[in-house]
Amino acid sequence: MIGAIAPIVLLLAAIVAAGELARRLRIVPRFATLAALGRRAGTVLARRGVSDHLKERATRILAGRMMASSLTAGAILALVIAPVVLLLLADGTVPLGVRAAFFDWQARLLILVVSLIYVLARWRIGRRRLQPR
Amino acid sequence: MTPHRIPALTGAILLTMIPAIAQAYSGPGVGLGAIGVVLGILGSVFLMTVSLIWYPVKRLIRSLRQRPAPPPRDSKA
Repeated sequence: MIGAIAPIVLLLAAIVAAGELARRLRIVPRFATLAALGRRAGTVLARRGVSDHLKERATRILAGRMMASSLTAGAILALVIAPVVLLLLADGTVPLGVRAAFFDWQARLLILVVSLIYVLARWRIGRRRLQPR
Repeated sequence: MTPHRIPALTGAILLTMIPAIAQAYSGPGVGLGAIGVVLGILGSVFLMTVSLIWYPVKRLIRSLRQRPAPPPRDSKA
């Protein structure tokens, strides 16, 4: 049985905050940029008929961009998961019952269903806002 | 597989059967994201190595090969 509803609500709030952060910080396009940089680097390295001097310059620029993009994506990923991690860490010092709810299958099932409803509703609202008026 | 690895592998499998909570779970999104970040950092280090070491060394080798050979010394002169 679900022991208490408060830890589940806290977990849901943290998950919703993480989802909103992921939307606002546009995490998915950053990984797409990272993948595109990787593909571009592969194309540059495999290209024939280009001087080594140009390849050297291009790979140096792409390496810098890729490093910056990777570090930015990692920082944003850490920011996105911060609400859930902070809640679990806070539960270690102040017993809120969040970890127990995190490992309870019924609580997880409830969180899954509510999160899915939230994601679907958010997606519908987002699509409606994108429609031209 | 060498014989001394079998006890180690058996021990590792038995360790995974201990019903303790690892608290090391990461979801597929965070896991794939972390793998992507690590691959990006490794790729950028590889590209930097290629641009800073491989191409200069290649250029050096090419210039050494293309350097004209010194004219043979004329012993009669």
